[in-house]
Amino acid sequence: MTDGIVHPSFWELDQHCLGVEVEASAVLHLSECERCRRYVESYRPLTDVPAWVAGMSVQQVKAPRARVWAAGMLTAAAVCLALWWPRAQDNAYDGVKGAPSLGVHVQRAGVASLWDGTPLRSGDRIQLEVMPEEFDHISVFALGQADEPALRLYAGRVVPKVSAVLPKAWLLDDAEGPERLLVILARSEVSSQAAASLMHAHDPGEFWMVRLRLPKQRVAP
Amino acid sequence: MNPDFNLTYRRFFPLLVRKCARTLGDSQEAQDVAQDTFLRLQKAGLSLSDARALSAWLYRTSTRLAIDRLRLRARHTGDHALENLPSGLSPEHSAQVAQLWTGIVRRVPQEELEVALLTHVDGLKQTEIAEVLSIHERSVRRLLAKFDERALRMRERSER
Repeated sequence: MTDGIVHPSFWELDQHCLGVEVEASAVLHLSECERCRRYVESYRPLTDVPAWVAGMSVQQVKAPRARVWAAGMLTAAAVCLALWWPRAQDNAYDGVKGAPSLGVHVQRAGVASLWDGTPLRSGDRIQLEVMPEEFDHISVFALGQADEPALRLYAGRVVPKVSAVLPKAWLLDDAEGPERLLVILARSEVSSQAAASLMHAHDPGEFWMVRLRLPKQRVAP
Repeated sequence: MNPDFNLTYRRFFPLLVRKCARTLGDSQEAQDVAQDTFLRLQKAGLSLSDARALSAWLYRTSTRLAIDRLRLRARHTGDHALENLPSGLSPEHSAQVAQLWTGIVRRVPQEELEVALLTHVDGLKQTEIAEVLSIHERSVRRLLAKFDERALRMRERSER
């Protein structure tokens, strides 16, 4: 609110929406300021609530059948070697039959290659390639400090049984510590909230999930 | 599930989404952060009867979660971060402002950023920020002064 008029804060307007008593000056302001009045009048309490609020526990917000391929921490080398690298070197890829797989491409100084498990560098660009098998949606999250899916970096459709390179690449910054990603294949888009539920599910639904820990070293400019 | 929680969710959630959208500039992320805030509320087991205290807790918690998002976005999305400037902090559509904002998100300490967002994005007065963050009003003034000074230095550096 930068039009020179002193408006009540959004906090105060929110209090008014909730029926909490606010300063008389705010009430007077509302009678004179169309913008603030519009803000208050556009407030509508929800008529419906999500399932977990209505009565389900957080753990129940998912499909019933479990199929976590790798719920534990997969190291970068494990992902690369077990899932992608053999396939890239040998057409007779014999990984887990029917299981999705994931590859990490690294672009460094204009040269793209499959990641070999060695530490990445700030300034590298990474791009994911996935064989989704029967799934048709992929979601990629950045994991936060508490290992929670803190930011959804990408969500989109993939074609079942068709290997696809995701259209988005990520530039690695020079922040300390490894890059940690969570990749989920499912049959619909997965929000950060749903991803958090899936990570802690004892009986996860029909999806495929992998956590990537990409060690990174800082490179002096 | 406690029926009070159901009612609280229906009343507060739309306001919280709007608050998060102001900070994040992205409606989907705003929904996610608001949802996450309510999950934490469920686990926190707070009294739901005092609407003002409850909304203070929701403002405080969602601001912190939104900052986590902003920092992650600044880390992971590189140039894409420039597309999502919070409306309250982007007076001009210039790369310089965007770079300054990215620098602020990356480098300004948590407490200062909380106070700055509540001031500049949500328009809270210092007394309101003190209430929301459960700190003394003097601390609000001190943090805001430090933020202003730091932001000014960063701006001067970016203009060189």
